[in-house]
Amino acid sequence: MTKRDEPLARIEMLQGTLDLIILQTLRWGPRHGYGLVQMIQSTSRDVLQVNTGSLYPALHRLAKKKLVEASWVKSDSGQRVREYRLTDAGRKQLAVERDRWELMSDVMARILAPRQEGEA
Amino acid sequence: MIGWLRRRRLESTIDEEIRTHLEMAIRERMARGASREEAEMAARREFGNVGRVKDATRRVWGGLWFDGVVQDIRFALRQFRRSPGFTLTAFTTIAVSIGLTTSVFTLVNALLFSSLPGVHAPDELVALYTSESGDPGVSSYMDYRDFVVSAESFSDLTAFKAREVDVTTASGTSRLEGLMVSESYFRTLGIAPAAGRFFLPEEDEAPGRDAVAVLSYDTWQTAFGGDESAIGATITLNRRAFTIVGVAPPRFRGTNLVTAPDIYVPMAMQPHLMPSSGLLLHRRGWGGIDVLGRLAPGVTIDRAQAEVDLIGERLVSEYPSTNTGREYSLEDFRDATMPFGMRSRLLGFGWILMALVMLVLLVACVNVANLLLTRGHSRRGEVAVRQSLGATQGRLLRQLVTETGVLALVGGAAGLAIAVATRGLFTSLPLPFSLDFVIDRNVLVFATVATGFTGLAFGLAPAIGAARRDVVAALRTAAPGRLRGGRPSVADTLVVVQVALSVAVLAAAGLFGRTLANLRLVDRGFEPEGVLTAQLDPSLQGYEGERIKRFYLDVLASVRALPDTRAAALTSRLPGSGSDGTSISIEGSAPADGQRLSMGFSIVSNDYFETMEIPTRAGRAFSEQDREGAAPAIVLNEAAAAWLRDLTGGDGLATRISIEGPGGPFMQVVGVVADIRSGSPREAARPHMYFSFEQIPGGQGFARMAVLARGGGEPERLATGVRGSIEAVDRTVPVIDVRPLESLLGDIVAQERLATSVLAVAATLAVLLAALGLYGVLAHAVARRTSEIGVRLALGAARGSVMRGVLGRAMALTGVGLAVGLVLALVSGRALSSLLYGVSARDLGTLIVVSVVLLAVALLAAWLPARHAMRVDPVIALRAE
Repeated sequence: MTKRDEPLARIEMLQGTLDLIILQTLRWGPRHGYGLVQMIQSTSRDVLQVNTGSLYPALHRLAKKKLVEASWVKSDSGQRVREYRLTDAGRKQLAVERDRWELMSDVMARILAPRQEGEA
Repeated sequence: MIGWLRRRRLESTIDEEIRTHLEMAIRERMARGASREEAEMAARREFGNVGRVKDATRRVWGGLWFDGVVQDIRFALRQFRRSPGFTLTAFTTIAVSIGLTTSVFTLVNALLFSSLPGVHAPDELVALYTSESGDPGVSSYMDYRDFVVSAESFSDLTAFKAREVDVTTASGTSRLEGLMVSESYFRTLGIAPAAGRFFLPEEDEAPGRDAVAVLSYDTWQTAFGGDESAIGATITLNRRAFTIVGVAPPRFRGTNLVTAPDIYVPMAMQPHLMPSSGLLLHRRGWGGIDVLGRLAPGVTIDRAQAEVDLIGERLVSEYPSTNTGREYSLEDFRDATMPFGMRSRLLGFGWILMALVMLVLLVACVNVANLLLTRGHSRRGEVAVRQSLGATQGRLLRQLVTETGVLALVGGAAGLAIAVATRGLFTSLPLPFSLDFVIDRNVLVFATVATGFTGLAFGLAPAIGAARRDVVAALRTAAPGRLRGGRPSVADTLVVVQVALSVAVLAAAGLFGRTLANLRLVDRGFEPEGVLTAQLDPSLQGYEGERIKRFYLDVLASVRALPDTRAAALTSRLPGSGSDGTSISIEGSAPADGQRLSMGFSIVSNDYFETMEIPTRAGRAFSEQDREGAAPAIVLNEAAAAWLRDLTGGDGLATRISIEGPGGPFMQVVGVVADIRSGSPREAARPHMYFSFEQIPGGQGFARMAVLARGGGEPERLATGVRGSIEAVDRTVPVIDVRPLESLLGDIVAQERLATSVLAVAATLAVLLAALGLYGVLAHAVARRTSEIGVRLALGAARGSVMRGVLGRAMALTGVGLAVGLVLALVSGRALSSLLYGVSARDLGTLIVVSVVLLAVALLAAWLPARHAMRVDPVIALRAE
């Protein structure tokens, strides 16, 4: 229902990529949920719209798999926030996922290369 | 519990996490210059449906199921509190129908599954029957001994025979139910003594040598106050002192459901317990013994049967004179707990009853389904709101299923309670045997399954319907339906089903009612009313030979001399107490291929037929001329006369019959009397012959006889006189069972009475439920169309026509249901026909009455909603719009 109001330029996230993005983003240090959203959006120069509806389930899913761990900390503004940090297992998983992603995007790039489509 | 706490913590974590997320988002937007309101709106919009996100996040952790169920149940209970009318109706419907079904199942269970109390591993037990020609029955003790020696399929075999014994104490002589048992009896049944010991092998060796006895627990309690000192004490049985060696355990009641033994003695004591019969144990030709075996580990009944067949063939070749034509069969021992064939008959009856009450359960399910459907309709708004607040389709469905589940569960529990409470009704039934109507595991399983089935049947369909409802469509007001015509709704269909099923049950109840009435009118061939009976056995007090006959003739004269006695007689067998049989030869007619003929008989004094008021059909009954020394005479019943006519082709009256082989001596048939029916009137009479007591020389007669006395009024009034006149002959001979003949015959229509009352309850319930269903559907329709009716009335429609509209719809639904139900009744009637008497399963009268009753009830059920529709005030109805 929120989609209608989104800028057309924004694209929806590909299935299964959210986990990778979260892991990658957490590589720079612990973040709380809202921080993650902000960071992802700014990194992608606002092109990627993170659907919070899937962010929290994804975070909890990663926590359950012990790829990230969560703890309550005081934020700079003194608010109690739940921070997620990458675990060693998460770091390893990130490497695996990134390799796979690179392979995938490479393949996709080749398939979609305009020359081979014979277009003008 | 721990899981639940963890879940609570997770819940608050997610709540707080999302709250802080939103707060941060709002703060940031406000920092960028938005107003609080704008910031909040934007943040929420960006976040999406909070409830749904929380739900999805929680679900990541799994284990949500249990958590949700508790929540659902709480919600369900809240819902029930909100609509007490619906809840009460649904609950009562479920409780009563499950109660009824479980009750009837308790009856079937007692017959089918329950085993004898106290007996170890009854599934391993088999009954060994002997058949010569006709029904399998009791076996020969000599054969039994051969099986004990040869058969390897059994870990143990036991033989036993019931026989009453006279017990003499300081206060006089009374009679107890005795059981002669082989020394293996208690071992075979796997029973340990409550006190003392059971019989030793050597105590069952020499005929009449070891006078030892085991008491039943009840006898121990009543006669000895449960005192241990009873072990080693003596008890006088048939004038001989027996040493008590042990006591059977409390719950053990023998293996026969009809009579429980009071005292056990070794089989070797047979000559003492049956003094007039001599030593029967060494006569291979004599049957009369019950045999039970316990299958050896791993042996199937089929394998054991094969071995028994082999041994049987060997016995025929070894003892051709006695064993030719003898066959042995192993049967489920439970069949041996009742007179032959009775259990399977009762079971068939039980299952049909069960099937009929299951129909009622079905009607109940349909009814509750309909209630739920109606309610689902009025809950459309609620469901839609919850859906738009983030409840998923599955979540909603689960909530609705939980609601019906709770309803079914609570109703089922109450139903079980009803079944437990009404159990006493079965126990008080005048059945000719004792059954354990226990609420055991089987009954609990049944009630649970019935409850589960009920919950699914009535719950799922409406629940799916409710959850599937389109949100948008539901948020609009319910589309107005029509009172007449149009596509039939699901609710309409359900009402039709209900009516149809109740017609079937009602028809069955009607047919059983007719059967009961017909059976009561059947001519029994004799008049038990007004006859008093007493049983005697002077041989137990030392009488022998001619003295026995003298004793009875004196007793007869003494009873006859009583002023209140109009007629008196003797008989060796009272009607309804079984029959003695003997092989017969017919003069001048050799039976084909060595076939052996046998017939039931009884020895009666010459005025027996007059006393019993059994009419003579041909020839003459016994009279003064039939006395010792005169030409021996036989009187046949009609069945015997017909049978002999078929055999010889001639007139039954001219026949001469011998019971001592084809060489005679022969006795002349002098007359034919009416068949008497002592059992169920639906059973055909068996061929039977009567011998004259007066003609039989003393000593060859039976020592056990019953005295019959017919008085003017109530037979009980004769009791003191009869007892006194017998005691005047010899007060040492105990007079047993002084009671009216009618009470002895028992309630021959007990089964039909039971069927009729159970079905009456079932049918009433089914019809009430159908009426309730019809009422519900109509009331709901009228309520929903109040405005439509208002408009029509405002436009000038006659109130009568509005009312006719409602009634018309009621009659249309009932009519269709009735038609389907009548077809159903005709089809299912075929299954009933074996249980009916004097009425066809397609009895037109019954079906008409059923239809009229049903239509009347339907009209009544439609009346209230119809009147309500007629009284709609157009002004109020239109204003509500």
